[in-house]
Amino acid sequence: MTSTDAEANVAPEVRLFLAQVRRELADLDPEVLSDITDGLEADFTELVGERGPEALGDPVEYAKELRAAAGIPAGSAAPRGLAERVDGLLDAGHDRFDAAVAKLGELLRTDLGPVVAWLQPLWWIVRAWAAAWLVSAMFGWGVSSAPGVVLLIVAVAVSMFIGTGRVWPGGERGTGARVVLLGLNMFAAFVLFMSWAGGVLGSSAEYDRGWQDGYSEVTGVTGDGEPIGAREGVYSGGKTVTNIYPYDASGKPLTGVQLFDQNGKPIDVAVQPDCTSTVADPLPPAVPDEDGIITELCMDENTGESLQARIFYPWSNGAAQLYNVFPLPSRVQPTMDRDPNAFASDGAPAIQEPPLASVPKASLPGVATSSPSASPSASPSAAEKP
Amino acid sequence: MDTTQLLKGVLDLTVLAVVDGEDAYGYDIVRKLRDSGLTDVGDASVYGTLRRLYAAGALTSYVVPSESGPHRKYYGITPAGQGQLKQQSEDWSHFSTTVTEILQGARA
Repeated sequence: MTSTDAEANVAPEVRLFLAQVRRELADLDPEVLSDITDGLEADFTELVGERGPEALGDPVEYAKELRAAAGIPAGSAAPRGLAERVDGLLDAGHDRFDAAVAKLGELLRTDLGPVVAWLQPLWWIVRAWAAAWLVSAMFGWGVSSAPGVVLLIVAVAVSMFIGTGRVWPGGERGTGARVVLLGLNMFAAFVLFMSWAGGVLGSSAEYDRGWQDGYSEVTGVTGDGEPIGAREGVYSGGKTVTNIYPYDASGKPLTGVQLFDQNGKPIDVAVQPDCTSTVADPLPPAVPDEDGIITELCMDENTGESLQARIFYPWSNGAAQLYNVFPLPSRVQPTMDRDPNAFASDGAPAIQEPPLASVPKASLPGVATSSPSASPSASPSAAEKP
Repeated sequence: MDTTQLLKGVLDLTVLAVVDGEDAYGYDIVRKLRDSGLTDVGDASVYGTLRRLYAAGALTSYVVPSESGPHRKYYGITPAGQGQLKQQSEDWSHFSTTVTEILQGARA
């Protein structure tokens, strides 16, 4: 390519005709071929301008006449086979694309040549990303994992080499190489579409999570925009943990397990009313609390009415409320306030059935597991309020 | 009469003659030949002839860039080409005179 600007001004039929003539002369030394066809764009453009596109005639006849007059023996060109026809299709497609770009450029009153030239290396990077993404997905690596990153770098390098024609099938004029290149590019486009569709449909959870994690790492905030360090409670998979159901090593559910963190601080899930397990019963009018404040509970998203919510109650050691003993008992009630006498009333808070009746046994080599006593030392009770 | 066969013999000569006047690009030469009456001259034949004369050293070529479109390739005559033109012109004169005389003699 000598000049993209100049080529943009060549009519598509001229480009197609010239490409076909060049193919007929493909057996010539490339230097001789370029010598012969050099400048023909301009001449053919003038010819078409004067005599119309029909004057170009048949490219095969043209090439034959050119050979005869130039004293070049007829090439060993076999009858046009599949390869030539495929080549012709590829040329025609390429010319049609060029024509479309040129036309669009005319419409926009700007030369799109530089834009296309700029987009090409961009595509080389994008298709490399697609290849790396596909291989990473097959091996189960994250895109941002070490092997994934190395893979991406290698893929970009290879893609660049192919794009600049240094590595097969790039830069080859052979029909096979062109078809392979086209196939690879189309496959890359397909992979890109799949990765996009996966991200949109949420099936590519790994990608989403990776992105979220990366985002959180960079900004230091959670999805809510609140700094992680300032958030209370326990989180698992980005979601608030409202209750904990411990199981022993043999897989049986435990009750009354006191949990502390690595510093001996009680693990508090910072219990919030669980609006997901509300009951849509009509509510008694909201009662102001001691300070005269009406605490809004959960609201029905459609009607905006207050709903009853599941309120969690603490365990007790006789002196203090313990929110780090699990599972926490709970009950559905109309107000947010915890009733000091809840455990004495009808419908006292109770521990809900564990989500799993039992779980598989767990073991660690060299560690004897012990099952805690069945009766917990602490028992659920309403805390005495001052 | 089909002049294609006759054209072949004089294409070198006519192309050299056109370029001898002033440098020209391929289609320019085609047009000049056609305008001069060689209406059957094929474009590809002219380009093939240009290539052959260039390879033989009778012509020189250079590219003229264009701002609005693809560049043009101009051909100019070399001293060797001028020598060839002179020689072939004489050959042609002699040949055509001979043929003309034969034809006139046949009629007489």
